[in-house]
Amino acid sequence: MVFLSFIVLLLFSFKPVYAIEASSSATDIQSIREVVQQKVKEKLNIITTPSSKPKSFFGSIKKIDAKQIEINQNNENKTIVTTEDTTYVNLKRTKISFKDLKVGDEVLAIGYINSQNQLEAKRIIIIELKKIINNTQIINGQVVDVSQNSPVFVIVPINNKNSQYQVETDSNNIKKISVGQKIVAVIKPDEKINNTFNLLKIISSTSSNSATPTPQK
Amino acid sequence: MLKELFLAIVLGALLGFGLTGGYLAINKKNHSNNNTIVINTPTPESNTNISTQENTSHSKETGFSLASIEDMDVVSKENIEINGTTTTPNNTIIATLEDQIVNATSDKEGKFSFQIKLTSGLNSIKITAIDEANNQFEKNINITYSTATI
Repeated sequence: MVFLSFIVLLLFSFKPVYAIEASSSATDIQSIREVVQQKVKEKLNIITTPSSKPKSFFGSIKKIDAKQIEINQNNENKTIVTTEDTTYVNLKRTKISFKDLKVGDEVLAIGYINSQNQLEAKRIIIIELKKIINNTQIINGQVVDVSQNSPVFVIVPINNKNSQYQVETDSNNIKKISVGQKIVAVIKPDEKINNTFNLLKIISSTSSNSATPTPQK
Repeated sequence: MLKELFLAIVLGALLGFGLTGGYLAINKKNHSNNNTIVINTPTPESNTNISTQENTSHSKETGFSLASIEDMDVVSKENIEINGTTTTPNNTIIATLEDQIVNATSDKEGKFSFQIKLTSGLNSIKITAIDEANNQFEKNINITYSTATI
């Protein structure tokens, strides 16, 4: 009898405690899980939801659909989505309409990127990309030749000794340049003469004898 | 009989409390271990990773990163400040935009900053960093300056 009572009491004393602890532990895990899910959701929202910052796409129109324009931007296809609110501006800065756009036009579209990585355009402007392309080059190299007859010098980049640049400057700048000099120069291709560049600025120069850089204007 | 039953209840209760106390102590220990496991879940790691990707994108291959501005951004201010960090200190930084040539030097922590003036519409800015070992790194960023309401 005593033994039976003892067993019964033992069973009763365990069961409720076990249930409480299990539910308490499960609740804690569930709450932690919810916090984790919430954090993941927040981060996913940041990544996937449309950007709150305006962005731009630019390039040449490849295809025009009912409401979408496909452009080629640096050899990458991008999609611009238009709405009734989208405004269109031509090169003369006058307003045009969607139907005025044609394949081959170069456009700059401003809007917001959606979750499909398309630009929902608020404004589409026809542009001339050749006027915008930045074709300046920075050459960190050594002067290997200076012309005696014209304000032209030749520079070989330090990191690519297989190439050289023929650079045209003016009569004042050429006086400051000598063979052996190390310079950092900003140059731009000459539009009229092939394989010739125009000197825009010397950022720094080191004389062939000195190791200390002399900053130039 | 009644005495025996009472004794059995008391003994049972004592044994029950003892076992319950032991169970609770063991469970508490396991529970604290569980918490540690939860802390080690990928959540904090993923947070760190995301912020790292957002804040710094430079590597030795790229040479420098830009902090204040991203490619394809649209701004409404004519003058913008571009700042960033080079992987090594004392880099020469050169930025070109149309006729503008701006140069700066990164400090001992690799930080640099300069201002550039934009023109209306698309601006193609070329930024070059040259380190002390004469390695040259380049980035092109296209920034649109527009005062129109977007």
